[in-house]
Amino acid sequence: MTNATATAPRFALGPRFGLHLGIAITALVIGMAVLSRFWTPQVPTRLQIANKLKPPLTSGLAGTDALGRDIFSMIMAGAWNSLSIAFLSVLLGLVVGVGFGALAAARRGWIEEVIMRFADVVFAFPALISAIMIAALIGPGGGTAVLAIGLFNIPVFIRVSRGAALRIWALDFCLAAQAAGKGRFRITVDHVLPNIAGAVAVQATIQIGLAILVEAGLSFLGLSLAPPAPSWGRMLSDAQTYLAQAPWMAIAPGVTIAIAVLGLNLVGDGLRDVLDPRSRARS
Amino acid sequence: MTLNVRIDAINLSRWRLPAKTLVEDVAFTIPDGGTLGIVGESGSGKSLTSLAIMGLLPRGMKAHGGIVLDGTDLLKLGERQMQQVRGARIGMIFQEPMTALNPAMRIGDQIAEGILAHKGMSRAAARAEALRLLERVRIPEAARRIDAYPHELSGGQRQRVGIAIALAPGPRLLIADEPTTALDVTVQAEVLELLGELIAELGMSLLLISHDLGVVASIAERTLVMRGGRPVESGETEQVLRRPSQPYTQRLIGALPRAQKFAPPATGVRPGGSTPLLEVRNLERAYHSASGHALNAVDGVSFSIEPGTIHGIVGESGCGKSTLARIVMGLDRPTGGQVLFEGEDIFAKSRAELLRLRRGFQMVFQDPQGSLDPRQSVSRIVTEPLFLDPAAPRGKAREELVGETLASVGLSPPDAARYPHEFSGGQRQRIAIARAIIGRPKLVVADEPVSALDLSVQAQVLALIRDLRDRYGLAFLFISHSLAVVETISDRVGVMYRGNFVETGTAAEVFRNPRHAYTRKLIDAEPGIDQPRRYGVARTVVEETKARLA
Repeated sequence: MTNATATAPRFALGPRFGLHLGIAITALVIGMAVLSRFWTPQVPTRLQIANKLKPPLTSGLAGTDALGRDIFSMIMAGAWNSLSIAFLSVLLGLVVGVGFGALAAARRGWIEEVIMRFADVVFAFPALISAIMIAALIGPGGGTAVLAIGLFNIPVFIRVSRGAALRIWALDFCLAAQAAGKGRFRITVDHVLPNIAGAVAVQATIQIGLAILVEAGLSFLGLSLAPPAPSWGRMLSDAQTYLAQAPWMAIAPGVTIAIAVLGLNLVGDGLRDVLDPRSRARS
Repeated sequence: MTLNVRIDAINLSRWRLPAKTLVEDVAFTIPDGGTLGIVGESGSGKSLTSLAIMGLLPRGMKAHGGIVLDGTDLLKLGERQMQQVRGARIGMIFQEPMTALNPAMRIGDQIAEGILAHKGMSRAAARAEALRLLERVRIPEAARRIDAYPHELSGGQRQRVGIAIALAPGPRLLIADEPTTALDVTVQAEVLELLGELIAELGMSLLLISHDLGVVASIAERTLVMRGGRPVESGETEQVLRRPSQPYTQRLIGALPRAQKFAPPATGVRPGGSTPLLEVRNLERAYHSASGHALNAVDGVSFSIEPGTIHGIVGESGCGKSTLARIVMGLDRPTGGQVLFEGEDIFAKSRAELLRLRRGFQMVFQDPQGSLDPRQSVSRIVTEPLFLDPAAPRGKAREELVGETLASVGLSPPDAARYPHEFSGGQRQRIAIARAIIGRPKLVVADEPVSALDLSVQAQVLALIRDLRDRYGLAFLFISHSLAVVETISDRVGVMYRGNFVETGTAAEVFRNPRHAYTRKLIDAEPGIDQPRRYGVARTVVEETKARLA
């Protein structure tokens, strides 16, 4: 076996390569979002009709759109809008959803039944419908988008966390904790939440990706941030019309969303491993 | 049929990691009509050996050497050709009949599946054959049950169906990997008997893999003992198990519960006139199904435990022993009767008082995998019961207490900073015991604490429990399905059947001189190494069958 040890594979990736890559990508995207508050190559909202539909590198890094706006500047500025709405809404859904999900798993019985049926009802409304309702109440804007997307995230997290928590509750260490005199709340905090954190983190990264896309739909309908404030989602939907003439209009925000979601997913997967002591000692 | 196995190595190669040899230099021959048992503890490579024969090694593993079945080297066959061998020439019986059967498919169809694949019969003929096989494995009312789904059958019946599926394509060799491990002891006896009978009748060969020396002894002609991927000893079963030549085999046999020598049973000391430590009076726990049908899981149980003694409860699955343990721990409420801890009824107490009483008793569970939170360090796990105790030491003093407790269960103080996955099954069970005893309880309820452990580890944990009883005067309520374990460890014993005790007394009384028919049935059903080949095949029968066929 010694010779096998000697010939270490040539393309070996370091441990946690995925996590590091994910952190790098996410940091880049967030950095871009923050930077856009102070500086963008062009003013993202400035119209230059004469300069419209220019391919990438002929005008700016990523070309211009149908109104002659600089796409790269719009992506930078849109990063801030898209990410803040996506993060906030997922955070809202996560906190409320995991709270109810853990409660359902801890209490069982009628409380669980009520929570799960509530989740079903919320789940039955598409995010768009609830956004329209909320917009009717408080008017369109970023807050409406966060609330609507957050609402649509709640049942997702309720289900994920309840399912995972029920599996943990079935294990003997929860019984041992009960035998040690701990109450259901205490057991949830000590044993259940740390053990479902991995599943929830992975779900959260997926939901952020989804939230970016849902936000696109909302802003397309004018229920999110009002134009001309740029967002990745609206750039995508605007690009639809020009797909044949100016594919870069769709490719630039599409690739950006893909990269941002990839980065977040890598971070989620990596976090799950780091949070798990079983993988810690192996390296 | 002759199977000639010569495995030089089974290697595991993983991406970016050095290759690892899991099994080395295993060689044996199973002649036509022969039976071979492979025994070993976990990690001995016994299951990998059987998977290698079937060509079903997990991805990344490769067997080197030769596995010759009637002149064909199975290792040289392609996947397509191997499919013609599996089922048709080598049948396999699995450990867990619940997961080995497809829950969404009728049992008759599952048996017919193999017949249709290998024998080219019509559907009607295959169904008739399936019915014949069901009758042969003694499924009651086979004609009606042929369209049943697996969940409608009991565990023993499922394993019989598993046997019928393995037999259906008419293999000449059966591989049975722990075929009775998931079954109760009386059911195990029935299944082993059936297996022995079928093998004799059909003149098949059998490769039986088990961790249980008694099971192997009761059916196999020859035995191979494996350890850590290498063969230790092989030969006639009687010779290997009764007159082992290798120290490892001797140790293994010495670790059999009954072979251990312990001090005479403790009778328990309590000041005259005071109450017993734990007294259970007419305990009942009824469950109501959705249809309103009531089932008494625990049905009028009474017993008491004296301080510093071990009270064993033995019974088969579903007899109510785990429900009893949960009620005694106050984790479930009885529907009738009382549990008195030092004379105080724990269910008449307020929650706060119950929590105070709880400090006096703790619990150890069966599965050392699931009973420790994988995300907590050993130190946090072990100190969990101190949560209840406002006077528990903090900081440095607590660390010392943890170290001390770990030392008293045979671990070392630095282990406190490590995590459960870094320990073996036996060590995990020691951690669970440390958690139970850190608050110096008076009673520990242990529900199947050694059932998931290997024989030698089991012996060590049993010795530890005895030692804790003697050193700290701890009392144990020790629940197990294993007669041998309960007999070895207990001072007093209750035999539980359908929610109540059928027999109680000192361990020696109950097991040497059982009065109740159920106790006798349990004792008879238990496979021991002193009853070689009780279900096994006499060579003469095989010869006769062959002569008849010829």
